[in-house]
Amino acid sequence: MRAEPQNQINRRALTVWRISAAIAVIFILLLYIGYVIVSTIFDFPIWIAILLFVLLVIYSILAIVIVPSIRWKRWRYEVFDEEIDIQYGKFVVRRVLIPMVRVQHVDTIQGPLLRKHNLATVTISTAATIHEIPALNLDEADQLRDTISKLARVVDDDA
Amino acid sequence: MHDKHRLHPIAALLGFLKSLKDLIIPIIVFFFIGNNDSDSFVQLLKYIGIGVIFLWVVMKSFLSWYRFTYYIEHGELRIEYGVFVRNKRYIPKERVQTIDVTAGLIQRMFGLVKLQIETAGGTADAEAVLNAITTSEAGRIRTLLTDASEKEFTQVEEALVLEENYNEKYTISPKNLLILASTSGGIGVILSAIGAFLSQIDNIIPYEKLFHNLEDMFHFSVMFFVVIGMIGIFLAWLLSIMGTLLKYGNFTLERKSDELIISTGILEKRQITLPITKIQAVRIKQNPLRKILGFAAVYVESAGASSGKEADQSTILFPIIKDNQINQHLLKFVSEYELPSDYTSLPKRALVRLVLRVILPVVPVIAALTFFLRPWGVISLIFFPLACLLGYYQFKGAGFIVKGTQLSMKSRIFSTTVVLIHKRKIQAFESSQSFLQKRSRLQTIMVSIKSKVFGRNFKTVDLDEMYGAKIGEWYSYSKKPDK
Repeated sequence: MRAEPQNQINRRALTVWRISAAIAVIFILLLYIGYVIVSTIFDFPIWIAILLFVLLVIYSILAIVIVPSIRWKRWRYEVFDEEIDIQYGKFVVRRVLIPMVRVQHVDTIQGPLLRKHNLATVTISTAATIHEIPALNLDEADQLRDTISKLARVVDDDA
Repeated sequence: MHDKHRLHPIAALLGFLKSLKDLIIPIIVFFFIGNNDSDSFVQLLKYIGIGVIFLWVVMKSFLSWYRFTYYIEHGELRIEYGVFVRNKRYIPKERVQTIDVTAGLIQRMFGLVKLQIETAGGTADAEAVLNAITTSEAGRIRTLLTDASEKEFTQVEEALVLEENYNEKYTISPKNLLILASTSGGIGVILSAIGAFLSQIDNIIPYEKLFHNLEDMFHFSVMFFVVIGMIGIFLAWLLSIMGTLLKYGNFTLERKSDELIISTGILEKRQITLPITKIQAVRIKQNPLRKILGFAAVYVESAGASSGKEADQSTILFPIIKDNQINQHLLKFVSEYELPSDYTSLPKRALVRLVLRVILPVVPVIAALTFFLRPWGVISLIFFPLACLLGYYQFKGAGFIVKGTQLSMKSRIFSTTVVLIHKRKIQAFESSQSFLQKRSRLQTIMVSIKSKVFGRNFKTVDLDEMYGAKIGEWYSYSKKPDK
């Protein structure tokens, strides 16, 4: 198959993903504490609480440490003159090919978390799908959007 | 023209009203909560609460308005919006399909208009909405964005159709109509009809009496129930035949140069006009019964027909047709599509995965039945080898082939479905590989086409992985040196 796409997304994406995973974990932790309180009041067997705690720890390790690295390593993109090649995926490796003639519009999105790290996500919309390239350096994102936008100006030969 | 424009401040008012409308129920609820309590502190809290909500909505509307800017540069409409999440959207004018200028009550009061821009992107909402701008500004935007689109339109019509002046007609013979009606899937219809039927005969059969003697019911009335059941199914089948006859009674398919006109129905007539250029894919479906008899049904997926009720996303083309006649009719009516006679099938190592996929949901059900409903439940064990057979049947029925610019994907659940898609109708191509697939050197491919239901996908799972790459190459638009 053609070579893997060349470009990787910004390293800081790892940090952002880890932080958002951590926020999710904190939320679940709060729920867990709530459960502990309830189970103490109602005298649930203690092994459930311990089991849940173990599961919580495993999930946190996966979500904060392991999955973001896999995701970041996997994430690659490359913009050619006629098409965009994207590779991504956590458990399933996916590879998408989007021809420039099919690109309808290109957006950049920047939530508060990404903004703090000076990152942005570029989304590419076709008539049928939306694809995203997450967490690029803001300047890179703007440039990428400009490039794709310019290349996508090819007139569609078929409405 | 690089200076960024904001919407007219009235847009903030519109946003405010909309947010208020969305929050109206919580506000009313809130208003009525503390009413019975004459405690003045609670009353005070309540009013503070309403005040806070109000203020928040005002702030939100103002900030949204403040943050929404747009400008046109290099033939692109560029919009920046969003308070917490900053969004920037670039729409090239070549991609603009419709520019809608409307004026609601508030806009009219202030002499403003609302401008909406849609691209071919499938979301139901417009890709760009300028809520309140002056009429002259709308005119300016329209001029700047439309000059290219006119050119695009004239090129479009040359696209597909090689021969002009086609004039073809297709109808269904009475014999075929009967076959259509009697072989159609319609399981859901049958089941619901059975349900209706059983509820009706409630008065004839003393259900209560039977319920009280469960043992009796089991030993004595099994035959009785089976017979009743079969009569019910037969009647439901008759009903579904009648329904199909009424629906496809007067089916006519006509081709006039590059348009298809489909009309059908005896009691309720429906007519659809579909420009051939709007066809995104052709789908041929064959349920097991029809496969044996040598018949099939053909559908077209379409999108982008001028907005309105014209072509559905999935329109029936030939409700029933002999499978050896499909290709000649495809040629006559949709020109470019061809049903292949051979396919590249899945490699043997995919068989295990497929059978597992069928068995997995069935096993717990069989286990439960066998355990809880003994001894009769043991009969359900027969479903196990049946499920394996089904998996094998599905395995044999999957495959793909690329001929020229057409990709054909075949799959089978009970019915066999073949989808024919041309390269230029494919919006995006994705190949994926899970960890287990990687070990077996298999891949899944997925192509997306335009459709009213935001993009339809067709998948072929568990292909040999070299085909994933090959199809990717075929789809790639890179200019390659000629081999």
